[in-house]
Amino acid sequence: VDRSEPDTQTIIAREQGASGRDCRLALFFSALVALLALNTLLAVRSIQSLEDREQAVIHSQMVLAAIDAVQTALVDAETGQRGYILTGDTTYLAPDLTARQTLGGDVDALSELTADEPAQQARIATLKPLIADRLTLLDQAIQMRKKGQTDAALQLVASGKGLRDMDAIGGLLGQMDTAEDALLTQRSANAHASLTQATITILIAVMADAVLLAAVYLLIRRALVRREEVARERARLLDNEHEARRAAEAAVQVRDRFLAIASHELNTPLTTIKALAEYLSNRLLAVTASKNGAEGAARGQTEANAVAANASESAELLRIAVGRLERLVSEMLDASRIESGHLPLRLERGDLGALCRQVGAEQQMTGRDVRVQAPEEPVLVEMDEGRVAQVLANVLGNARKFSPTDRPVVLNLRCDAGEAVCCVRDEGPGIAPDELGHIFERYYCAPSVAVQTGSQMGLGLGLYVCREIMERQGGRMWAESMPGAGSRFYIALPAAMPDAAYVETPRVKEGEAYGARAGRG
Amino acid sequence: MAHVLVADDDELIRRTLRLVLHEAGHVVLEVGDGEAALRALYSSADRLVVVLDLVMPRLGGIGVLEAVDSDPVLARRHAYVLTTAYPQQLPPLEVADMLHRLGVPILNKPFDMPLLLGAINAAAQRIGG
Repeated sequence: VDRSEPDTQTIIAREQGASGRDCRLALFFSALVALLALNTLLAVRSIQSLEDREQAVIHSQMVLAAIDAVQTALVDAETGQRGYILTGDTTYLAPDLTARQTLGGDVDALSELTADEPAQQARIATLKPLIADRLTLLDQAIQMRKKGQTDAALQLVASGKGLRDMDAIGGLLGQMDTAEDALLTQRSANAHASLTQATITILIAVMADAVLLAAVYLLIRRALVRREEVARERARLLDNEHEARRAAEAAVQVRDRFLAIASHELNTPLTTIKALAEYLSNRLLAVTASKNGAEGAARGQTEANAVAANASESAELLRIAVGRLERLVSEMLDASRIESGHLPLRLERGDLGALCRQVGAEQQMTGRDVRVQAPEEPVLVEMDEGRVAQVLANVLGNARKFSPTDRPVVLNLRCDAGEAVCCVRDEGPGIAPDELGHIFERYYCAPSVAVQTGSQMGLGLGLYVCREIMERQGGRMWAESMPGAGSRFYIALPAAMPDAAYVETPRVKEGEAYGARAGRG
Repeated sequence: MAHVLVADDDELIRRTLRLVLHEAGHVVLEVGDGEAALRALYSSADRLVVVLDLVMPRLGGIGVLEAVDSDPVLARRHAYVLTTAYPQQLPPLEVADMLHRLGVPILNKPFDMPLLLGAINAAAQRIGG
């Protein structure tokens, strides 16, 4: 009866399942780390792209500043030259000189900044000679003024050549400015787009990370819960296993005890049958053997007389022994039928009062005071009369067996709340409270009953069979008892509805009642 | 002829043995438990062959024999035969020792009558009854 094996296998299978889960968990974590890395990478890339575009914006702003510087330097140079020509004051030449010194660098810087823009380079190429021309013209006028040719210098200025050069330069610088401005606008837009994109990317990454972390948290939690469940399950299985083992051991004990008692119960009547069979057969052989001769005939007559003298006692003892065997076999058969669910019952409407009086009368033949208290009018119930008679006989037999021979046993029948209730009352020693709860269990023999009756303790099937018989007819059976105050055994059946068609209580046929007088328990 | 005391809680066995042993020429007395058996052993004017059942209420056959074993007068005066309907239950070693010491045979129910009568006759001879 080893039920532990499949359970252990179950545990091992679960542990294997758990290790499989651990493996999947590791895979999940790897994927998770990869996802986190990817998120970080995307965020970094967004930030780099943003930085690049910001750099482009700054670059455009630097180009614009450089354009502005060139223009400013030219205007400064022109303003200084005109101030000097008009006033002859050399301090006016300071901006001109500064402009001349920085202008070359400014143009070079501009050229460098726009090295990747062919259109701007082309403009710079046009711009450079124009600037050189302009500076040369400015210088010519300054030189004239220095030599005192103020009028000539003024004429040169007024000639309009310088103005045309400046217009050309201003036009070019304006074009460059416009182009770079457009570029700046575009780059600013790009930078803004990058910023939005980076923001969204980072937000998504952060949210994804949060979701993943939440998933990890849930996974870990589930794994822990699962582990606890497995531990609990394992403890439960172990408990079940122990319980099953205990039950199996108890079942073996019950079986051994049942076999011991059954063999005892069978051996006792067999002892009588065997002893009387041997006795009778020896006596009859003696009668037969001594038929010859007058002396033999006389001896044969003596033997025959002896047999005849004991015939009624022998017959009575044999009848009792056979009755006991019959009862044991029928009890075991009933128990077996009940267990296999094949206890046939033939339910018919009958008078329980009449049945009580009949069974009571049978019990009175044992010489004991068995009193029946039942209403005169019929107490109608649906029942299998033979089986109910069996139950009544069993309970009355127990009451007789367990109470003093000089005390009466009372069978009382009353109708109570739609139920017909039989109560069998004895004045025996009663049943201990801890035993009372078990007396209807199969194979149960109350220890105190064993003390009272010694070897005649019965199979422990009588009351079990009785209760099953009652319950299978829709009835009930129970007991009340107090040590020292006797016992009351109740059997109850639902009262049948009054039926106009019903006229007479059918009589229970002679010999139909089962003669079960089983031992209590 | 012997005086036989049948100590058995089962009336059927007592009545059967009374009939059969009476027919075999013995004087038969009956008791229903071990305590009554002990009282009869102490009070009997005759030497008795006691047919003791192993399991009885109040005091079983082994209990009676233990009382007998501790009283040399009872052990010498009467003779004993033990019967049991629990043949599968072997007595413990110390009980087996005691049975050997007191010269008590065990008969399993259902026993053969010649065996029981033989055991009773042997016991009767031992006590000179």
